[in-house]
Amino acid sequence: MAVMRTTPQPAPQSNVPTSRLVTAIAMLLPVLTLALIFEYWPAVRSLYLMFFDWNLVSQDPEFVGFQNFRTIVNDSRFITSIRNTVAYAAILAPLQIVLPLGMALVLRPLATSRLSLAYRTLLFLPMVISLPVAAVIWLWMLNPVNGVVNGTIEALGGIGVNWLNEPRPAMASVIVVADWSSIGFNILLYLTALEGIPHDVRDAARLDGASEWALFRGIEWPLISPTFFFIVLTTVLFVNNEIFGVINILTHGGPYSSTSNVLYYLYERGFRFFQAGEASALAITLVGFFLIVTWIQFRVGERKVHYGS
Amino acid sequence: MAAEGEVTFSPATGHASRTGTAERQSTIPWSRLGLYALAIGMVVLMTFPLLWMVSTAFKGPTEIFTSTPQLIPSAPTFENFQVAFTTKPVGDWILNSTITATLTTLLRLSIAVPAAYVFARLLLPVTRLLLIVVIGTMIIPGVVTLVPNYLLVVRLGWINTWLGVIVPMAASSAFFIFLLRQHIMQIPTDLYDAAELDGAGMVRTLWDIVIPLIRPGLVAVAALSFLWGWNAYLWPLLVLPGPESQTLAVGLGTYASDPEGAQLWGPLMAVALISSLPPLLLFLVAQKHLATALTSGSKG
Amino acid sequence: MTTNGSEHADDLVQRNPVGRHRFSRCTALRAMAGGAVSGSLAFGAIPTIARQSSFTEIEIALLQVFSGPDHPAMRMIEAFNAQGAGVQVTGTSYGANYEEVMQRAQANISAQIGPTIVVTGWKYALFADAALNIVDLREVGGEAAVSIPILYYNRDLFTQAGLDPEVAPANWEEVAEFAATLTAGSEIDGAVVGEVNEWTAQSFIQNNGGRVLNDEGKAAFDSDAAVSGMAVWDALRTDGHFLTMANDQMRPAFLAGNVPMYFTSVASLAAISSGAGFELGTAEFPATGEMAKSMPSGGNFLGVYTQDAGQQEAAWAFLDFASSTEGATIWNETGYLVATTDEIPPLPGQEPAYVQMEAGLTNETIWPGERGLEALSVFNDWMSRIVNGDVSVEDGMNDGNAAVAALLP
Repeated sequence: MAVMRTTPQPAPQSNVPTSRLVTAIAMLLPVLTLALIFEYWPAVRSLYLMFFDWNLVSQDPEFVGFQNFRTIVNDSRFITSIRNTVAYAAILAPLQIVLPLGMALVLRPLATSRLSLAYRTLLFLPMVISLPVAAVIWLWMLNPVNGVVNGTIEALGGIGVNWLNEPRPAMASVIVVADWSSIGFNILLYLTALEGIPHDVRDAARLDGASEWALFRGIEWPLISPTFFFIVLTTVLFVNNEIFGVINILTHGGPYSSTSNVLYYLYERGFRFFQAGEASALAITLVGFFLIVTWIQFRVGERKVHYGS
Repeated sequence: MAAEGEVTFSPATGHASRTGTAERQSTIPWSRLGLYALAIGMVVLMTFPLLWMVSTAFKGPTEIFTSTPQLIPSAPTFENFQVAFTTKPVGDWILNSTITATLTTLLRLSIAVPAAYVFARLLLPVTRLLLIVVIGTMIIPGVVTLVPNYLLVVRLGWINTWLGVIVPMAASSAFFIFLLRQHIMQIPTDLYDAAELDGAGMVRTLWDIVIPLIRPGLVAVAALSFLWGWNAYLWPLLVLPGPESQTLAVGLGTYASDPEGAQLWGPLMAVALISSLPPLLLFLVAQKHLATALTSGSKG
Repeated sequence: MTTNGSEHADDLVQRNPVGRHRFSRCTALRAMAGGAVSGSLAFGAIPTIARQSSFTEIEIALLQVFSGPDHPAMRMIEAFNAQGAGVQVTGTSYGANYEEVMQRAQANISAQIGPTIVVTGWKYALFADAALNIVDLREVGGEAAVSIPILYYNRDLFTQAGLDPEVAPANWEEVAEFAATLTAGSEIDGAVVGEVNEWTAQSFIQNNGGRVLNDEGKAAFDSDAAVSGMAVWDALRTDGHFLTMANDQMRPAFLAGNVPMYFTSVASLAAISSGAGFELGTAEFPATGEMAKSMPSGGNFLGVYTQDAGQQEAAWAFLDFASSTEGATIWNETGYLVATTDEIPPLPGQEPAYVQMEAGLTNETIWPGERGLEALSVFNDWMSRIVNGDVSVEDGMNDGNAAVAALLP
């Protein structure tokens, strides 16, 4: 496998013939059209709807100004969901970004052995299971009276935990399930990035007496930093969605709405309570927030990531 | 530098070592064992839920709800599969999932590849802006677009049709465009220059040169896109009212969460097992390309 | 046309808003069905001739669980279509639960492709009425699926513990006694599980003489009766008999034989008996002390949501069939109780539910106002917090009452 390592940035072009430009726009048209219709139009619609009180069906939505925002901000369940969202992100992000790196480093020698294929497949397996099925399986495993998790804990002399029925354990369960289903993927990414570092570079440094840590800092880290950046970017964007998916099928926001995150709260507003206006207000706020976060990430990332060899 | 595997003698350290295996030789055997133990532990944790899924799929109804969990069924049976296939339109579900996942992937590829190419090759202020527009779609959470898209699809008359499922799903291609772009940016510029000298336009270059070179990336994108399409839940749930027109993921989901229906775990796991096979097979086929493509794609 | 004895939902509710009907729900529904039948008979002659020359198609929006090929609902539809009355009924799944069904129905109605009949949970009746704004022409359907909480128990475990498997506890004190005997020999601490939601909470509250919402539709569960009603449930937990766990985990615990007693809807009878590897017993929901019970009913009804006259007639033709003996017999197989005719024998295990129904049922709480659904969810949360010990009974009921009141009109 030849890894191309020429400088990837294309030279900026000054004189572009019109025909080229036209072809280029034509090539972009499909994706732009779809994005505008199915992603941006809903966002714009939310921008409009957020000032109205609407239940999705009545013919004349009522204009209410900023009332929707006020209602949401005063809802204690909203506050809980925000707190949870931060907690989830703070805990899950490192678990999805740093932990796989650690594991990849430790397991690297193994990954080049003959068991490699079997090993990679097994790591990837949880991603293949669809969420509702995973939920049934985990519900069983976490059953306080006959589940295997508590069974193991008690066999080892501990006390079983009421996993899904108390706020903290329930949040922990959500995090574990979310992590379980996607960590294998990130481990694979890191493993392969590490493999891509040519052996001679490592060996030269080792023979010079470099320690593992210095090796990592000086050589490996810069070389895998693009992968790292990629994982950070995608994790931050997708972690809320992942958590939402798990909450939706595992705890349904419970017990008593204590594990809900912002997206789940949004979903409830729109789909359970039919408050389209409030849901839109929240949606727009979220989009704005993520825009800022992503912008910051790009600014920081561009400076710290090392491209090329 | 010595070739990999060749033995050299280093006067400085007084050791003879085989190049490229330096770190392996300095590893003490028992830490290797520890490594294996850790690896096995990880594998067990990751796959245990799946083992349980497989085992339940083959258990008769009285064996499933036992007061102590049993992993190996004492009387394995195929009856769950039978029950599942006769009480639910599983065959239809499989067909629907295959069609939607494949068509979505094809559509995604056909819009993502040209876009990635333009974003990789033509970096003008205009295209830069459009790139941001495209990446921006990743920022909008899926939940936000659900209801407006549903209303739109209803008005278009696409409810309960393939179009209604596929087209909106294909709109979320930003991730793949991002990935493919990184790939394409790694193609050495001399190849482009050579093509231009030959008088090839953008389309020709894309078709003849770029696509063959990024084949690993294409395979990766195809496999991932298929997986996402296969397991997609919220959107097909809205667009395809059940039960015969549903996809496997949705059918499974509603099967698993029937409020007053049976918790028929045996047949449910049987269907779940079947549902995991196609993406798994696809991964096996694509795995060589998948990991390496995704990583070199995320380099630079 | 369709102005026979059937009532608008809000009429029905205003006469007996929430709480005990002066006559039982059963009678009320029978009256409606009777009215429907007689109404259509009266008008039957003329429209039939017209109908034979045109084929009216109507769509029924069903719960996902009703729309499997073998489900009694679908078979009932097939039987009706086979009669060739000039109406073709299609049953379509609109979602896995009542919310999804309502939401999709609303979206489709706003896009002009709405269904004719929609299966509507009773708790959503007022909301559906308000949301769809079709006050005049929305009728309450003649066929209602009525469900009630009952107690399921494991006869084998009773026998093992030395209890008579035919005798079930009649009130919560007896439940505690039975539980003590049952747990004596087992490793598991408690003996009872039961769904923690607004419905079972309403049972505890009403069985003690309290109300969730009063006749004016205001939150009223901070009354002493309501508080001590819930205190009974709380005591079950603190005494170690009631096991708290996620609702989804309770049924597997019961079916696996780990927990001998489980209370939930009678509509799950078919599901539970097919999954239980032991002798299943059913009994009435335990009473609170010596007080007479006042159980809430649940379930759904088929609401006619169309404005089109032809469609309405077709819809009523179907509903008549559904409430006839033939239709109801098929429907009965689900476990839902039949309210419209007496001629159908109960399924084995259903008897306690019928006993409760004869004794008089109340509505499950129908939550009024625009934020009614949210109020329902908030109430659910508070009840859950009480039962799980997150908050004391007094605080939970008082604060919960305030929170719910803030959301109601």
